[in-house]
Order: sequence, then structure tokens, then C-alpha cells
Amino acid sequence: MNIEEIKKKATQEISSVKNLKELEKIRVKYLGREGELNKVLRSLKNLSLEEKREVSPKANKLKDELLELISEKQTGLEKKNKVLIDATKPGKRIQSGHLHPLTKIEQEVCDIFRSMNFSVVDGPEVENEYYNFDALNIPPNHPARDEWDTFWISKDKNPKKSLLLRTHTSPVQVRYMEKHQPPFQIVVPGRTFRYEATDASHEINFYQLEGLMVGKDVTFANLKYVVEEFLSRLFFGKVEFRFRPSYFPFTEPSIEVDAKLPSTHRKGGEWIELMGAGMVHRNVFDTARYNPNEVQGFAFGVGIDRLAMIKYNIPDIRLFYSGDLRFIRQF
Amino acid sequence: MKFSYKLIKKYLPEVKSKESLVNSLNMRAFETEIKEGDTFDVSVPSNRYSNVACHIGVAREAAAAMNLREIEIPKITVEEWKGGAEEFSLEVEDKKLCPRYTAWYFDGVKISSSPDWMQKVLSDCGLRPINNVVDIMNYVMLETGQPLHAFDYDKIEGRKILVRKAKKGETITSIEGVDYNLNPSVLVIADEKRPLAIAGIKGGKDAEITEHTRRIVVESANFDAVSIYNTSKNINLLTDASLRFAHSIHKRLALVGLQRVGELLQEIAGANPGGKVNSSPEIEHPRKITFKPENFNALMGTEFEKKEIMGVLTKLGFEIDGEKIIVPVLRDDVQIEEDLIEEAGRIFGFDDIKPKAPIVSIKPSESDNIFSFRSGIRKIMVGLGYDEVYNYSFVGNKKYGKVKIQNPISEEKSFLRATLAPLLLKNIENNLKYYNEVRIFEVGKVFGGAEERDAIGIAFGSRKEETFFEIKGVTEAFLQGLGLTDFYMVETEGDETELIVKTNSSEVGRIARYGEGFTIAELNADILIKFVEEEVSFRPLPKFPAVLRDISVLINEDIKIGNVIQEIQNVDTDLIEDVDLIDEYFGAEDGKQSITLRIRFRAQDRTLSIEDVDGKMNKIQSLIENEFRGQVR
Repeated sequence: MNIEEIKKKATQEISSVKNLKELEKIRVKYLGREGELNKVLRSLKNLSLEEKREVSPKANKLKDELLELISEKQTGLEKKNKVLIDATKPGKRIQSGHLHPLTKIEQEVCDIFRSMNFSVVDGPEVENEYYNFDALNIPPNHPARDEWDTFWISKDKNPKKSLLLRTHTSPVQVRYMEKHQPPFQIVVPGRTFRYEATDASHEINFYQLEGLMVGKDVTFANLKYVVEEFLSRLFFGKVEFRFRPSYFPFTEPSIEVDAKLPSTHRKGGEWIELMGAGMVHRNVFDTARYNPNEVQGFAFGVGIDRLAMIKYNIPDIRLFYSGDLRFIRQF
Repeated sequence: MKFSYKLIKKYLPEVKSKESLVNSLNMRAFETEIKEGDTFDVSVPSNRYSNVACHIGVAREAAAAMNLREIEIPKITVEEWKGGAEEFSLEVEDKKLCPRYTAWYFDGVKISSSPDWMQKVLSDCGLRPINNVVDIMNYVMLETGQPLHAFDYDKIEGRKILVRKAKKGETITSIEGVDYNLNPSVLVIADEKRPLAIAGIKGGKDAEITEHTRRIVVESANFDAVSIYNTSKNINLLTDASLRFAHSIHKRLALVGLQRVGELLQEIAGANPGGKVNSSPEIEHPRKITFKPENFNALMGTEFEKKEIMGVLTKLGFEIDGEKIIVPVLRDDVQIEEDLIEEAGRIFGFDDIKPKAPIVSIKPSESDNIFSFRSGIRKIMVGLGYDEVYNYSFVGNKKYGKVKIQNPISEEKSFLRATLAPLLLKNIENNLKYYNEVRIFEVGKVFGGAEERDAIGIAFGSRKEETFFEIKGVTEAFLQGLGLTDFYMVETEGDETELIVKTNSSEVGRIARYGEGFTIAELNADILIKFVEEEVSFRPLPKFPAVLRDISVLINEDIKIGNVIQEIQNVDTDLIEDVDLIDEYFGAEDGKQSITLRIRFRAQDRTLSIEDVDGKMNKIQSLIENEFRGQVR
């Protein structure tokens, strides 16, 4: 057979075939290794260069045409034969992993602060007494220290050698200032520890986020802006704020920030204490060897677990550390 | 600290309700909470025990916060006096531990119950009325913040009051009948023979006021905060008095308290005043602080007028003296200009200050690399189908922790974890109650001594299948996902169920099989981050096709398949692109394993010919037959 004959016969056979098995036979007959088309191509060996140039493209073109025809026919037969899928059957169960809710909220919180040009900074979980207390203007042998119930690792007369599990992320304030010059703005997320009995809202380890912004003219009004912006974005703008006076040895003035969520929320309609904040105390600047008359800034601290509990409606902080996949897979 | 709304209302008749009082204090002074009845609770800031751990102080705050005019707070005037008493003598051995001791003798005391209005205030504040003398002591403490104590004069041996350190082996029985062993670190109030009270903490039974008491000596003193704080902790006794002293109250209060208690003893208990003594007669002068109202606006980001700012400060009792502010003596919390800024700011209302966006340079922020690394780790693991868990930082077994907690919350949480594995194992066990397969991971700090580092734990538990090879494969996929390519795994010597993961000859982690159905890989993130920080660089796509050949082999079952694959690769490291195990079968012959390997050949510069590949396959066959004593099928 020559090219034209093959084309004519094959087209006819394909159009009249009734099932997929026959169609496959036709494919082998014309396009298979020993098929008609290959026979033609192999016979080219004996032809002159001009003839090869004429026949070869035609053969290839026909091959493409026939493949196209076969594929169309195949689709048609499949439809007819109802080999088609039932699209209403359930999809295959693909198991994807889940991020822990505290990871999700930490990432969300850090993204908000990154968008305001804050840097995200890390600090050690095993801290010394100096950075955890002394450097933050929390005097030794003072009941103020009892407000931070502490896990001790080793006690020493020298507070820099006295080791503990950090009770808050605030020690990173002085650590960071010792190594950097203002202006800057940072947040420090991380695990913190308190020596206390656990219940639905207290854990011995939990997460905090510290914020610190220092510059020549960083003001209390700036603090309010950043805090409001942060909380509005985290809770989609549906939140009211309240700023109350408070006391922390490392800030002056010090405030407490309360938020009220819409009443549709589990914790909605009532004021919830969310974070402590204030203007960095001059003694803290002094400890970090800044000139307190030339810089000012604000600091804040917020419980990440608490934010997650409010945002995701989680009633018990202990669920975070239970490793229970029935819980984690909800996020 | 509990307060009586009734008493505040008496001082400030304009106050409309407990709710409005609590709300104003909350928004402009300190944290305050409504309690049942006429009680409300104030979280006294730890630097304000000299001036607001009392009704007079809270009333002053409320008057400023609510802008009240009608103020009927009792005026207690204090002046300089030395005094002297014939009835008793006083000796203070340690002026550092007892900066001021005042005492006042009264006779003709008629012990009875105190008036109803006083009992009401006491019970609002959670104190039990006892008799008029004791109640007056407590009432004046509630009013002024100064702890007071009354001794039965006739029980003071030698008519002598001695403030001294306790002697070794001395004991005291408290008014409640509890015995305390004393030691020289404890300051006591004693007579000639024995201790009558633990200074600043608790009175003793020996000189207690009883219904027969007719003559008394009232103590109004000041004690060193650190000493009281430590003693109170050591003997485990926290009282209203010790709480106040431990927070360092001003020594002026001792004079205020004595003055007030003298008035009420005469008024209510019909007592006749006698001699009084004062160990520290010179009176304290108020502090002056330079204050520039423009600094208020600079720190707060506001635009208040000088007049407004000064007006608010005077409402709180501050006086203006030119450039300086005179601070009331008892306001020992106000030390620096920022303290005054806070005072004015809170009375204006922090809530009312307008937020302003800060102006920052567009210099890009610089976050620590570990955060993007951790988040990269998590993305890969979640993509591989693993769920993230968070565990406690604590373990109970010494095997898994090197750092001991001095005051653990419980035995099973007495060490800091040095490895994530034990708690991941527990997670798997717990979750296998609900699932047939559990795939989890954790990213967290572990503590291998003084240093702490980030660790990654990957764990798989299954009820039905071998878990080791999934974890091995997941670890490989994970490391490749991080961009690490040149890692390898070697067996731990002497432990067939553990692999060490290495790169550049340093160990980055281990994969360990914990019995049937549990495998955990634990990797060191701090080392990994160093190796993956390099940029990924493009490799050209292969230009020539690959050739696949399968080979089935029967070899002794003690031969390690990893070695066979390694040796096959070594036959030609250029042309053999990959060797993979696609099938294995035990039991075809005793002591033998049957494996099928798929070998992928590819050359970078040409299409491989059948002869090329056959040549290599022959070499592989003889390798298997000679080196591994195997049989190619």
C-alpha cells in the first residue's frame, strides 16, 4: 500500500469500528512497529534522496492524522460504552498534615507585624536571672518578683549565673538592645514558663509575643496605634479596645489592654484582658547602655495561647499540649 | 486587697454607685473588681503600698479619677515629736531592720465589742471583729495602710520593749496558738524575757489583749521590707501586716497610724493616753522633681496645654513650685519625671489619647533566620501528610533529660527534655486509640546541658505495617525538601534498629525504631540550617533518554540490601543514575532473600546503546555472584 491507500483504508476502518478492542487492532495494523505505515517508511531506504524528501513528511503527517482520529473515536466509544466516570462518587481521601493552631496564630501574628516593618527575633528559653528580672527593673527580694512564678534550674549569688526558665519574653528586650542601636521595632514570639497549677486557662509552658519599638520620638500614641492595628487585623476589625493604667516595673507609664469582641463570639460582649504594655522605663534603657534622655520607646507582651483560644473558640489551654490529633486536625 | 464601698462612700458622698466607683478606678487608677455586698477588690500595684493599700488612698484616687469636689477624708496631721514615757522603755537594737518604732501607752481601757459601723467595714474587708481594741488596730490599718499592734501592758515583763533579733532556739506561740521556731534572721518584739511578737508579721499569745486587759501599749512601727519578705517566706506565714511591710511602706505611715489610733482609742474605748516614744523623731521632707509639661506631650504624643497638665497633677495632691513638682511624702512611687507623666496621663485617661501611626524608616526589617527555617520545616512536613504536635518541655526520666528543675511541678516533669522522642512516642500511643496510623512531627527546643537547640521530631506509628521505611523515606524527602542533597545514612554500631543521618561527615540526626509499629526520626535543626542556607542552583535537564533494567537476585538474608545497592552504583558512577528496590520476598529458599532492583542508566552526552547497558549489566551480575554469593535469576 502507498500513503494514499493507507489513508483511505485506515480512515474508513476507523470510522466504522464498533468497539475499543477492534480500534486497538486497527491502531496496531497501521501504526504499530510492524504496521503499514512503518513498512512504507522502511521501504524508503531503497529510494532516492528526492523521493525520501517527498514521502517522509507525508508519512509523518498521516501518522499524526490517524492518531488524532483514533483518539477521537476512542473518546466516542468510551462515552457510548459508559466507561465514563461517575463524577458524583466521593473523591479519593488524600491525607494532608495539619499545622498546630499555635503555629498558625504565631505565623499570622508575625505576618501582621512584618507588614508594619517589625523584625521577628528569637531568644533563649533557659534564661538567667539578670535578664529575666534585674535588667527589667524588677528588684531582688521584692514581692513584685513573686508575680512571675519561676522554675529554677540553678541559683547563684551572681544573677547572671543564676539560671531559670524565662517567665516572659521580656528578657529579649535588653538582650536585643545590647546588640543593636535604635531606631528599630521587633517582635519576639516564644515559649515561656510559669511554676503554677494548671487549669483551663493556666499552663506551665505557654507562648508569648513581646514587642519593642525604640527611636527618638516613639510615643504612647504610637503604641496605641500599633496595638489597635494588630488586634483589629487579627480579629478582622470587629473589636473594641480599652486602655487602662497598670503597673510593670519595666515600663512607665504602664497600661493594660482589654478587648471586646462581638456578642456572637463565645467570649464576646465582655471585656477581656489581652495584653500588658507601656513606655520603656528609663532604668531599662540605662541597663542596655542607651541614653534615656535621647531615646524613647514602647514595649508590649501578649499571650499567644490566649489569642488562639479567643480566635478559635478553644475552651481549655491544655488542649494545645495534649498531642491529641482529634483536636489538631480541626485546624 | 478587699475594700469597703461603705467607707469610701462616707469619705466621698458624691459617689453614686459601687459600679461607677470601680469603673473609674479601673480606667484611671488601677485594676479594681466588684465583689459581693459592699466589697470591692483592688489589685494594689506593688509600688503603691505606701499610699493606696488603704481606704484614704483609694478615696483620694477616686476623687481625682471622678473629679469630685466634696471630700470628707479624715485629716491626720503629723508633726515632728520625740516623746518620752515613764510607763515603759524602748530599745531598738537594729535601726536598719526597724527604721522607726513608735509606741503609745493607754490606761483605763474598757474592752467590749466595737461599734457596728466599724464591724461592718472590717467584715466588708474580710476581717473578723474581735473586740474594740483589736478592731481599732485593724480599722486604722484599713484606713491608713499602717499595720498596728496592741500589747497588754501588764504582760510586758520588765516594762521594757526590745526590738531585737531572735535568739537561737527561741519559740513563740501566735495569737491563733501556732508555735513558731525562731532563729537570728527573724526580728522580734520582746520584753525582758521573751518574744512578744514576730516583728511586722504576727503578735504572740503571751501579751494578747483579753477581756481583762485594762492597760495597753500600741505599736506603730516600720520594718525593713526585704527582711519581712524573707522571714514571711521562711516561716510560711503571710499576714495583712507582712504583705504591707514586704512591699516597703513609707516610715511616715508609722506616725500617721499612731496618731489615728490614739484618736479612736480615746473616742471609742474610753482610753486615757499616757507616754509615747518614737525611735526616729526627725520628720521626712517631701521630694521635689523637675517637670517640664512639654516632656509629657513628647512622650505621650499629645498636645495638652501646660495648664491642663498641671491642673490634673494638683488634683492628685501634687504641688507646683516653679519648675518643680512637690511630691506628697507618702507617694514614694513617684521618683522620676516619667512617673509624673503617668500620673497626669492616667487621670486624663489613657483610653482617650488618640492613636497615631509611627513614622518609620523603610529600611527592611531583619528577622532571625530560624523563623523562616522553622516555617519551611513545617510546610514540608504538613505537605508530607504529617500533623504537628506541641509537647511539654519537661520529662520525668533522667534518661531523656540532662537539666534538672530545682522546683519541678511534679516528678514526671522534673527534667528539661534533651530529646523529643519520648513524648512523641506517648502521643502516638494515645492517638492509636482513635486512628490506625499516626503521623506526627514537632519542632521545638531541646536542652542538652547548658546549650539549647531546635530539634525536629518526625514520628510514625501504625497498627498494621512496618513503620521504619516510611520514616526513612520521609526523612529523605524532608531533607531534600529543605534543599539538602549530599546526606547519607549509616547504621549505628551495635544497634540494628537505628540509622545515623549525616551530611559533610557531621551527624544531623537519627532514625530509630521503637519496637513494632513505632519509628521516630529526630534531627538537629541548628546543624541543618547551616547546610541548607546555600542557594539552590539550576542543573541542565537531561538531554538523552534513560534506560531502565530490572534485575532479580537471590542472596543470603544476612546481606544488607543497602550494601548491594551501593556496590552496584559503584560499578559506574557516571552511567548509573539510580538503583531502587522494587520488590523483596523472603522464603523462596531457606535463609535466602529474593530482591528485585531497578537500575536506571543514563549518559550526559549520548543515547546509550544496548551494548553499553549490557556491558554494565554483566559487570553487575558478576559483582553479585562473586561479592555477594548471589544468584541472578
